[in-house]
Amino acid sequence: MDNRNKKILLIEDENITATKNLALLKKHGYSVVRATSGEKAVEIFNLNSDIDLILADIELGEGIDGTEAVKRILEKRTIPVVFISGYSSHEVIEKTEGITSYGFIFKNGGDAILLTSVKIAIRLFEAEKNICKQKEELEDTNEEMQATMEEMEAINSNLTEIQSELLKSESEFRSLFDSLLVGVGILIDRRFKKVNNYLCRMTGFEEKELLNASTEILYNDITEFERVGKELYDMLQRDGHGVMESLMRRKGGGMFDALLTIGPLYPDNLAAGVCATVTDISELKNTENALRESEMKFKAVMEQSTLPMLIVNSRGGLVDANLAWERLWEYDKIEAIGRYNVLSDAQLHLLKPLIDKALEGSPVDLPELRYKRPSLNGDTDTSLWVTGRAYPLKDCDGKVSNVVIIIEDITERKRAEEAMRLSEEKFRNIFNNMTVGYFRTGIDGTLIDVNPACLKIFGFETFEEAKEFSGNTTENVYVSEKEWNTVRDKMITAEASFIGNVMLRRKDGTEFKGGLNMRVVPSAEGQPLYIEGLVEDVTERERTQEMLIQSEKMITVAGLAAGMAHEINNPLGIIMQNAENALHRMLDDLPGNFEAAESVGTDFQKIKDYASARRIDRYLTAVRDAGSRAAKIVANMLKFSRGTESKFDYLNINNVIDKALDLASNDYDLKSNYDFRKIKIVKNYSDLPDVPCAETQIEQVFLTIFKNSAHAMMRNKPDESREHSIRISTFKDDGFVKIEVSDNGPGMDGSTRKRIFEPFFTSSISGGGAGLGLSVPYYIIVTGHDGTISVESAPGKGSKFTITLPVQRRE
Amino acid sequence: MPKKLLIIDDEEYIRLPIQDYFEDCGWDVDSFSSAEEALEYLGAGTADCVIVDMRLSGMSGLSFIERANEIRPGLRYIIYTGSVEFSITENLRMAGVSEEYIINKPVDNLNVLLCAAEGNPVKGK
Repeated sequence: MDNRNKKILLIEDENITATKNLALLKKHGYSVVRATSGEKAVEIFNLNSDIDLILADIELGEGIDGTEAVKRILEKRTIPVVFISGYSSHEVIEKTEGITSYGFIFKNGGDAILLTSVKIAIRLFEAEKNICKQKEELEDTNEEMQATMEEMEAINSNLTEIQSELLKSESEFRSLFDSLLVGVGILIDRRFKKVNNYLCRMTGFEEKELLNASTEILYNDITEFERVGKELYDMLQRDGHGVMESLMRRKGGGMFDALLTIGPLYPDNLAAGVCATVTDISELKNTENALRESEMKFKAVMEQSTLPMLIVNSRGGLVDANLAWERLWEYDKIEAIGRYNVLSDAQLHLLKPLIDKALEGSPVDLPELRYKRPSLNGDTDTSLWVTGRAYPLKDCDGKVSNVVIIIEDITERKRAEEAMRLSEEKFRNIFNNMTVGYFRTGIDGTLIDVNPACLKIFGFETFEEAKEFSGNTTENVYVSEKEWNTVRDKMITAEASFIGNVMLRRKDGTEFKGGLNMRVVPSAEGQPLYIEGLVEDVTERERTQEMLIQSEKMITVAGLAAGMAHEINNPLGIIMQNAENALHRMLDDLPGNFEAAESVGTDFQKIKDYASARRIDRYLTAVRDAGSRAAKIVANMLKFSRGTESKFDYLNINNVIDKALDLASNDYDLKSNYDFRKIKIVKNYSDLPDVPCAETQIEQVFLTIFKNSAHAMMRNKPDESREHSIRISTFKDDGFVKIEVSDNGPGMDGSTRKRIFEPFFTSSISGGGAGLGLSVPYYIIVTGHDGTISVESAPGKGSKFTITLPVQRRE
Repeated sequence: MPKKLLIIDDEEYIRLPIQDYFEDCGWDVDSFSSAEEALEYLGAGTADCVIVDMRLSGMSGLSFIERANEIRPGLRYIIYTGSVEFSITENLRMAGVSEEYIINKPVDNLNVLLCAAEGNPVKGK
């Protein structure tokens, strides 16, 4: 039977049920109009003359209920009605009494029941309509017949014609009866009195086998036969009609699910027979079972899945969730369903566009989200990182109403990532802040990475600059190719490491001694991956070490000098005093001298002449003066080695240097064509804080250094291109004042440079002097002023003295 | 009457030129190689000035001045020493010794000692 063109008025106030039933009916080809209230239903019915069936919910909330609405409709026109109710109470059913209805089904009775009820109602109505029509016709015919009979009796003619008309009518009814696509039988006392073709086809029996046979023939056992009979009879008694499902037997023994309906032929006389219909609903049952199976499969997948899944509606409210989800949140699903606050507002706000997109029909990947895990037992919330995917969930109309969200718990991954990030950051901090230069190169020597300290050591601004400068093999930063070869050889041999000092080149071309500590870093499989290394400018450190050694040496020398001084002073005293007295008694006009000469029979003048003629006077003077010179050296040594007791003033070192320059400018030696004023002096003074110092001593320090430089330079003829110059620079440092005095003289070799501050160290540079040379400035600065003094020099490169003086005097 | 000088030094050839120089200059000089001998002399006699070395075998120069100051207060002392470590003590100050009378060995000119002995020590020696 074709459902199309059949129009159903659905009276239903609940949207969910309405939507569901609307969809179901539409799917099965009905056109449906919906009324949300009883009043509306009447109104709609009046406007639509083509409505074929009314599907009425009894409980309609406000206004008239379903039964009342149907009553009003039925007043206008007879139409099949199927009532739906959520209740089966007597009062509800009572309401429908007196209303000609073609079915009564319970909500949630299943789609099949609904569909079948609707289908059967329409069919029944049509059958009834036909029967009624037939009945009317029959009655009409009867009347006619009676009239005719009267006529017959009177006329007794036309009988054959009337009989043939009756037969024709009977044949029409039969034709209609047989054309129904539902099994129909007229039963009296549960025996078939009439069956249609479809029933025969459905059951496999022939008409003659069924006629007068008990309906038991269609049941597998007597129990079911009796059950059906009793229940249908009860319904008939109670409701005036009956509907139920049963399992029926075909002729060959095959079973089928059947929907049975029963209605009286004559409501006033049940014994006069009933009209029963049989519908094979095996197909429907199968579909229903398949649906159920499919749903169970889905449920099983969802529940067994270790991935948390949930279904949310368009507003973000929870519709359903699986066990994994419950475990994830430590949350009870039942409590959560229907609530919208499963997701916090902020997160919902974030998710809403994504859910909306999924609702439009395309799956969406969720971003990584951080959740505070809602806690039922009031424990401290623990954070949870999740990501996932949202899929649209289509209903039977293909419309997306819900969204399935599959969640992936990435908390562990996030934690690992965070740990990794922290570790990386820690490494970066060390890398960036370590004062030692760090670098990484490929096995071939290409620069991969350097830290800021490394850039600073070489004077680079950026890594790119460093990479370009160092070349493909970093060979360019090595001053000596030989050293580079040594390093490379060590790296590529089994040793795979190098520790040592090499000369390196900065960006500006200057050279420095670099301490290298390099190694090849292998992979887990032992293959060389890259080379990493540390580099330090060890010039400063080596100088400090030298200074320490120097200082030690000087202390030893000073100690020795102090111990020796006394022992030396006595013999010196003897030499000097006796020489002096010898001179007195030989040359001075002392009364004693004249008396002594006379007593030995000579003239004192003659003795004086003799001493002069034989140069005894000069010998003795030489002895005395030499002793005097030696005494001065010892005295100076002692003076500086025991520190200074001179008065300290806070002075600007720039001024002290200027005074020393004044003193130096008076220094010249005609014989060697030496003149300090021929040297160009370049001053590069900074603003300096006053430092505590003994002025004359510091003057002496600079004077000694200036003279030292000047003498060294004067020994070399100046180049045509380059005049002799001394450059004096002063700086303010942290807690110190630093003074650099550099010359462009011949410089010193390493061994000279290392011993330059030792007393009595003679080099041609220190020239004449008292033999103490630069040890005097050393003692003054280091012992007397707690400062430092050092020298950088190389042959042909001049010398640079660096002096630091503390701004605060040590107590 | 010539002025009286005592010299105490364990080095004979330190004593001798000083004695000769002062005698040439009109002083009466006695010299001793130890502090004990000098103290013995001061037990009976006296002097205007004493030139004394600090490091002596036996009694030190310092102890000598303390003892001598008890026996013969008011003598002028010149400390003539080869050691620059020496600095004046409270007892020396009590005996009237001041910085100017500490003279480091050796002197360029013996006149330095003579001036000090006459009470006119050379400043900034």
